Amino acid sequence: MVRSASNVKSLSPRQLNGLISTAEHAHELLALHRQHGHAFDRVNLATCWSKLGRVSAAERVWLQSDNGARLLALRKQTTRQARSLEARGVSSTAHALAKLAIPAAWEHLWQELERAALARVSEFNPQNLANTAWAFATAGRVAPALFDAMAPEAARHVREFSPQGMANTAWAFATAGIAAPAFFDAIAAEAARRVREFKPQELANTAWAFTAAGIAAPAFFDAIAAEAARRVRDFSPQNLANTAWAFATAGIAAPALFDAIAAEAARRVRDFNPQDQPNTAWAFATAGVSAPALFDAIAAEAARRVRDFSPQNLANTAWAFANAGHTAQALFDAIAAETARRVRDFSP
Amino acid sequence: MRNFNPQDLANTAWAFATTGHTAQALFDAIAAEAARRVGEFNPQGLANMAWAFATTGRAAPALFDAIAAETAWRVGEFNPQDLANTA
Repeated sequence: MVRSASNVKSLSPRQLNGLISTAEHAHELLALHRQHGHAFDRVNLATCWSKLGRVSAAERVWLQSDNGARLLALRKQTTRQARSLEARGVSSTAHALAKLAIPAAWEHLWQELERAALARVSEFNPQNLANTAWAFATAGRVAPALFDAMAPEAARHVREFSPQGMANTAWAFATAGIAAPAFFDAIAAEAARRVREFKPQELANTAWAFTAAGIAAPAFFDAIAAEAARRVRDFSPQNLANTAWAFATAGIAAPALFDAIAAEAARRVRDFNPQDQPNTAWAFATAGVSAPALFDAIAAEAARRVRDFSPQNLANTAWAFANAGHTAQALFDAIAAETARRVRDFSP
Repeated sequence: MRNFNPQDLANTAWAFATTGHTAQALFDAIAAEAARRVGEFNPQGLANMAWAFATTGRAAPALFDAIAAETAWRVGEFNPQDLANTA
């Protein structure tokens, strides 16, 4: 519980940090800032943002409402003090901003954070690097100078990265569209060595990142393929679809992996959402891997659910089946009827 | 949910033509929509569209007129393969 302003006037930054660290909810953090914001130092600000970046989804919605007006005072103070933030403060503030995804009025703070991050990049530890890269990529910030500065730091410290840190950082560089071959090579070598420590989602996302970035890493992909094939039962539908997409798009043949994905995906086809189904079919068609049982399973399930498909899902499903040369009369009838209906309905 | 974009329309027409699925109502709906929005197609999309309708032997005079006019207008953007498919 937050104490009233009258009896806590003389709290030191250290005491304040204790209160901020133990606050459980967003409204408590904002109350602390309302009462003691004038006394917040850079560590208090960093801790406060770090906590705000980890609030529950419901509280995030509350903070996002009204264009983030509840955070106005904290944002303005952080903007003023951004250049004094330490490495952890810069990365956790950026992480929180990306997580909160408040659209308007944050430009100035982002610019200040970018400057601060550039100044501190040599002090970033692997987690700071991963969080900062993830934050700027997620927020869609175009910051090539910052990514260029982070790439060699990440490559240099690659052995200290967690699997999640490697996956998120690779994802961030790929999403930001930054060409950083030395960075990706360093990740590939390290990740291949430690591939068993990667969770399914980390394997899928890292494969996705290398392919999206257009980086060829055959030895690493072979390691992913072997590991993923072995643990395919632990993969979510989206992990399966993304992994197949990555190998197909990269043009890397991995027959054992595709066979394992085909069997698993056919078994769990009902768990695949309208985007995972076409993506998986698209990957098998593009890779030229024949998987009749999987296509039959997708056809039956997709035909039943065409109403949930987006236009792109419908078109990609038809494209995949045609390209794979897999006959699916009932599915094509369902897609034809649904597409004709929607094209007509949408036309003015 | 957004409407079909030109690439979705072209991919769908291509898929149904390739597999020989006769779907009269579908091709009619796509022809009308594509003719109306022909300016949004890229050269490959126009070429795939023309190829799909030609392959099915379906009459879509308004669509072909629109593609012809658009192609003549933008011929400089087309590569030889697209032109060959459109012809």
